[in-house]
Amino acid sequence: MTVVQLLYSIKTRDQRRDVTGDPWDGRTLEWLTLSPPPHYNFAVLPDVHGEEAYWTRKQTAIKMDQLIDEPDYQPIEMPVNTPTGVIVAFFASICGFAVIWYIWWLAILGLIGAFAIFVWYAWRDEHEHIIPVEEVRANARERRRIRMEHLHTLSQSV
Amino acid sequence: MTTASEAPAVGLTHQSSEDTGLGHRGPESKSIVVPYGFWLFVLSDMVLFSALFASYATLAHATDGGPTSSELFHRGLVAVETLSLLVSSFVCGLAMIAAKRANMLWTQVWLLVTGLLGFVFLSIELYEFASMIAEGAGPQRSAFLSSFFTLVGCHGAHVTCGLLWIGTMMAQIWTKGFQPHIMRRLLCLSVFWHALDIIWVAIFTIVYLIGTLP
Repeated sequence: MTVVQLLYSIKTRDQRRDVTGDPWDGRTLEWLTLSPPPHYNFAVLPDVHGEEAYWTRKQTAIKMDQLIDEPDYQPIEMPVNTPTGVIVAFFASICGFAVIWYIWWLAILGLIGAFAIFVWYAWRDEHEHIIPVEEVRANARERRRIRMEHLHTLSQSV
Repeated sequence: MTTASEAPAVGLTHQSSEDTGLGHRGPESKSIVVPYGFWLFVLSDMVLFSALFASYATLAHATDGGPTSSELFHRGLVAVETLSLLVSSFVCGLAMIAAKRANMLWTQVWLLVTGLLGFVFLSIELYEFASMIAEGAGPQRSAFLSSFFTLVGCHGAHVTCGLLWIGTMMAQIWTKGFQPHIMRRLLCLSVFWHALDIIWVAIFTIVYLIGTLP
């Protein structure tokens, strides 16, 4: 039965895909961002007043029939993606396994591997990249457009 | 707002040269966030050691008819060990001062001395371990010795990692200079090294001093 459910969900996934970011008329901030969210998540840090930050904001927007004024978007600094953690963990696990079973050569090999990856990572000079303000603004405007449409749908369904 | 051309900001200062790009509402600058994160790691390490201390304290007399702590430990040797680690921590502080003044020669010299003293500490510890195992007082002999080797060995493993880190930092300072991110790493290294010192003081007291009380 579960398998059937799973297969059916996979088969009909396109018509069920959420593009609004707020499929359940949510009350908290995680429903404020897009679906899927951009990798930097919020373009500006949202102001939070009270426990149900998004709900208050959403009701105000529906009542006024407009979103809050477009904020002053800034470039966003994000860390560069790196597989270092996973690779170091791989070598560290090998080292731990080898120590438990007294396989000394393997333990040393694991230690050297983990340390080498660590040094390789530490030698990079680029640790962050800047998302240009144009990209942030374009994404945010697209989000606001979707949000506005969604609010109309919500206010009509009430 | 300060400019990026100023001297690298080291330590817990709000006059940071780095802007997070999110204005005043954004997260703190990296010179705050990075040491804070590292302190969290150090504190979690302390929790780990607390557990090891607790098991040692519980098992210290569970010798199973084997050698006891007062038969095994020699205060003289441990005093030299402690002295070298404490002085090494002091010299690490000197290295930090030299690095803040962007003095390449003295930073390297003090870091080297820090590492050498750490190496002296580690050599004495390994000698102690080796002679204990040779006497038949290895970790398999009794619960007391299992917990001893786990606690002290875990500290020794930390010192070994610290030595690798010191060597890496010396090479990084040499090739990359006193850049802000290098200085942040140096600050974390110094926090780590001092933390190991604090843990050693506890080991020295609980394991060696109390263990050799007449």
